[in-house]
Amino acid sequence: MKDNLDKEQKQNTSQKAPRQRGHGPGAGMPLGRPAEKAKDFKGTTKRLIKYIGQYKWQMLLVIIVTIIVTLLAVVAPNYSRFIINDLQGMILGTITRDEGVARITTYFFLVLGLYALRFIMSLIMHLVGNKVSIFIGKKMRNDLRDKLEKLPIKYFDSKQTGNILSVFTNDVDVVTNSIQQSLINIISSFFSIIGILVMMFIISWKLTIIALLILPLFILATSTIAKKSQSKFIRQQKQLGSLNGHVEEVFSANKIVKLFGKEEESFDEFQGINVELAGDMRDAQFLSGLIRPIMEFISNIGYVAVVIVGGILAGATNPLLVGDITIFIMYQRNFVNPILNIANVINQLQSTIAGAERVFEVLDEVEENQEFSKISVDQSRFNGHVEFNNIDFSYSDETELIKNLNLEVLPGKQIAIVGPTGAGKTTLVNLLMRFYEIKAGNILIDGIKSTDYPRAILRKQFGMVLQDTWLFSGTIKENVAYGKPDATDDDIIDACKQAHVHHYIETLPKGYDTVLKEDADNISKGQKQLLTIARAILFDPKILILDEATSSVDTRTESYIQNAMTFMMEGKTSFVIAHRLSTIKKANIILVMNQGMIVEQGDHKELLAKNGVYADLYNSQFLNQPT
Amino acid sequence: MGKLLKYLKPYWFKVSIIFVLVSLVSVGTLLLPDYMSDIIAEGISAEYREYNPVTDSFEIADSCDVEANPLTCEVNQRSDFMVILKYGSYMLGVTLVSSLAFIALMYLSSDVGSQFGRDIRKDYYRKITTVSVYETDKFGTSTLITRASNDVMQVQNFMTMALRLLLRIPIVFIGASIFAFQKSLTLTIPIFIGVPALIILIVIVFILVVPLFKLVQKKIDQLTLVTRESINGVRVIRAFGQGDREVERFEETNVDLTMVNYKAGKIMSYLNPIINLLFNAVILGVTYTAYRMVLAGTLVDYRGLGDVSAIIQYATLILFSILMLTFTFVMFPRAQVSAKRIVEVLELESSIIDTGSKEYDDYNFKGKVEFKDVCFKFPDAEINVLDNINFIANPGETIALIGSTGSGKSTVVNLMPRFFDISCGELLIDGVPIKDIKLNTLRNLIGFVPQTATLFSGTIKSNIGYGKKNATEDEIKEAAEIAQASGFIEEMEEGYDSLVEQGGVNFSGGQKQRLSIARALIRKPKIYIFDDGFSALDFRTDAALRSALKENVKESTVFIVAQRIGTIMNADKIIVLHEGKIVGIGKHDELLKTSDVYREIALSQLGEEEIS
Repeated sequence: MKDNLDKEQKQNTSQKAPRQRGHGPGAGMPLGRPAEKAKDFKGTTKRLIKYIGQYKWQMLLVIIVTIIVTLLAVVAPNYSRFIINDLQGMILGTITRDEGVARITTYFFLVLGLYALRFIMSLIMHLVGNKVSIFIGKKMRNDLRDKLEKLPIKYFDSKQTGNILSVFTNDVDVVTNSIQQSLINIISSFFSIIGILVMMFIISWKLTIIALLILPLFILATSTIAKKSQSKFIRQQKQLGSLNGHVEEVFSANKIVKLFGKEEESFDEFQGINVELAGDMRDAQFLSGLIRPIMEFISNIGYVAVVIVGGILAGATNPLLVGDITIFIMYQRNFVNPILNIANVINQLQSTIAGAERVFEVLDEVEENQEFSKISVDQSRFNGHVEFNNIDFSYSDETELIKNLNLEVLPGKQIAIVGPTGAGKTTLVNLLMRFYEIKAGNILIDGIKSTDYPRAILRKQFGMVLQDTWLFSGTIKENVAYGKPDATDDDIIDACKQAHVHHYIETLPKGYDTVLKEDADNISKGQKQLLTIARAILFDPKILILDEATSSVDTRTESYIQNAMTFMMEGKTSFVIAHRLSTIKKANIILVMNQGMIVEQGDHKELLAKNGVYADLYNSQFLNQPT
Repeated sequence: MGKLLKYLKPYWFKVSIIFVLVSLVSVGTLLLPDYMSDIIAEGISAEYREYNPVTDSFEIADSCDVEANPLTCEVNQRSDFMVILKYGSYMLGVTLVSSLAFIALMYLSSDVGSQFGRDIRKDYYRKITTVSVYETDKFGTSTLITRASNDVMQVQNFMTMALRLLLRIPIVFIGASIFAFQKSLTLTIPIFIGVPALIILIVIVFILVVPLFKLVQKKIDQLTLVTRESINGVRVIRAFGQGDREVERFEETNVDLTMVNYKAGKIMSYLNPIINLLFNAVILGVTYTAYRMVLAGTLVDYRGLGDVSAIIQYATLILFSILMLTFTFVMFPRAQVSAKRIVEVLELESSIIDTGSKEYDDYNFKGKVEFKDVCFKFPDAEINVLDNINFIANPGETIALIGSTGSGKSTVVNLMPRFFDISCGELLIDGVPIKDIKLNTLRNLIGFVPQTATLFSGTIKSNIGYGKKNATEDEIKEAAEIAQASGFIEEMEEGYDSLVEQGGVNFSGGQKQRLSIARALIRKPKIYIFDDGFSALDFRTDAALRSALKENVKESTVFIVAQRIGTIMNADKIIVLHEGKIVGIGKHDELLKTSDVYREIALSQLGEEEIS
């Protein structure tokens, strides 16, 4: 259906290119590459917190357990320190063997206990975190889906399917993963830093100061590099964008490039971008890769300094023991990681919030206005009398599309809509089905305003067979019975017989139980069309909307389709987007549309006599005498 | 992946330097704990002093049993500043060298990695522009684009990472093991219990979780499918009032996905705590072994204590290298898939080979096209798409091809610019077999207008001028005029300098088609081919265009493939195709009488009255 949009809409849709996601190379090393920026970081964060509010107790549990796990991880090595110190004491003889054995055994059990506790706690942390994030994801997807149901068709016409889908999958994933990982990460990093700092001070404040001396150097170095590499990444991303643009253009126009012998020219152009891109990539990769060696270098200098000073302090009056030095070094090495971690997580949070923003954007879309059905309808008494009174309509506020349209269609009559592609023929369908709401005037169906019907009831009076044949993945039977799930097998077969598709279905190995694959490409386009006709026949509506276009169907199937359509139209009010002269001439009313406007209406003879647009069209097409 | 390795070849020198650098960095990592243990062993010492009643003071003694004689024995820890400084400066030196090596490594690996990607992209692009359209069509444009961007990126990233890491892992693993062994065999026992345990653990988790992850992917696809269906089919769903049912379908799929996801996540939740536990257990094990050794009297001095300290650090390095290896393994399949998709394209061989000789480069072609018993089948098909095609098209004639979808009408015209090669028979232009004409020369003879008009980003001028090098302004205007495009171009604010966005999205289908016709017209070719090239035009423009063509293109051969009878009714020759065979050639009036297929088509579009 998207291909079928009217010109007006196409111009609206043309401006939105598919969203580019800035995922550069080497994901997983986010520091040093630019994060996608959220528009309203604070507001969206607040909203996200509120959104996951129903899991607040579990979240709280995760947070508390994370803190415990972190502190346990920080404290445990301290006992290893005692053990090594005591070993040293035993070797030197400063503590007695018995005393040593007693103390060390206690420490061993203590450490074992701490590790066991940590294991259990971190298991809880991960299990609960996993559960919470996965169920938040589920809720988010369900909420999004429910929302889609309430959105007007306009929304679907103005958005690319791929972008909506990416909210359902990518964005929800990013947000939920981050809820689990980033949360745990940032909390544990924060408490690690504090805990480690405290432990280091306990072991030796002098060494701690030595160790901390490198910190400013460290932060300065990483942030400088990060900034530099970010700008490189932005350049790389830009260059990549133009490379992709070029590739897309040339690959899609492959045939033209060859026909016009432009292979060399476009290759040169490509290679120009390619070489520049490679240079930018190298720089970006190098700079972001630089963070690690520099970090290690600085950390190693700290390490060496600690070892030297520690060694000297070992000879002081209040000496540092071997265990002190070993474990201090361990702490010192573990100190930088959480700092880097926090920087990473903050970067990650940016894309998380940006993802959440897109989720909320969908959830915030303006819904189709609620309806309060004013009438009760006896559906069996519909007879398909349609009246357009002073209709004004346009897709956007700037351009007027339909102005003051008046039309009366008596039950059982045929209306042919003709006009060039993009003339706005499907606009009428949109209005009849209330896919779009009219701006002024009203459509009366059996004398009642179409807006007074509940949408669902109104739409049930219409049967649509459109050029774009939508079938869902499921069996043929399910597809034919789509509008009438309670139909019996006999009903279904009858409908298919009337649609001249029964025989074809029978030839399929699984007959009516044949499963149609995605976009149903395991059957031909013509057969699909026949199935949608069968679906409409089974639905048995009072009013039909048909698109006659059968350009991609072979002549034989085309005549089947034509027959089936003619059969279906009998006794029903029908609106036909007509392509065949035979249909047009038989129609009770012909609407001639051009550039979204109904330029003429009347029957064939009247319009010919008018000698206007229709006559013009008719002559140029059929008599082949250009004017 | 193996097949892409040859792209590293030009950089073999850099790659070998990378390997040297990786080794340097790894050795640096291994040396630091060693020096540290030396500092403990040699830089720190115990100083025993024994009470000497004679001098009434403590005197330095070789040893003294403090435990036995707490009153007369004293022990203090001494540190030897010079020794510490010596090893400290070694460490500083090692750090400096390995950091510099690391930085150089980062630079070289980024360099080689990006050039590796660049070269692949280059060959890939070359390939696409040289193989025949048939080959690329088999893939489809969108996948070809993804392969060029995402897949190459994926492979390039993997390569960069592999250069940095892959060699480092075994060096660190083996090196750390050797260093640890040398210090104390007994102390390393816990490590070599821990290593297999870690490997087994990882293997078990993978066995459990990989099928689940595959299932997750399947469920995500399912969810995407269901969602996409209800987005694309929203009109039908609402028309039939089946929204609730679709929501239900979605929710079922969502529950499915959630459950599988949950299960996989649950298993993964165990991984991290267990690995942590294992790391800690190994370190504790080393400490415990040290404790046993002290009790047994085999660990008696600062050297031994230094070893313990170093081995704890080596244990961490060893276990960590196994984890790193796992990460690399996780990344590999993804890169492998991408590599396969790239190689698939790189290994394409064109079914069209430029066999032409130069002799026709300056030949004065007139444009007479002759099909002699031509048949055609797709390279890997069995059934002929075209059979027995015989006709002659003379300069100045308009030849129309009509027939239903699949009748082969489009294939016939695609044979002329050699998008496909005929399978049998002869296809001649002015008596010359087209295979004898250089591809470029041949295609230069032809002005081809495809059904879907593709424009390039640029201006209207550059798009029309695409057809002819150094086209003058007048030529461009003239072509636009004939193509019935000058009207809307001149209405635009910037006229011929108006910007064309990528894909020409800022123009309507009809406008694009007219620009694409102008682009063909400006070449003033001997042969025009309109492969359904009027389809997006409204009836009136179609007719106006055809009459303008008639006036301006008097000496060329014109082929028109069309769906609309109206478009071709006045052609000099109408060729009616049905299932790959010519079932009628002639003028409109004749064919109405002689060809059933033609009449059927005409009837379905026009109706009895108009035909007669």
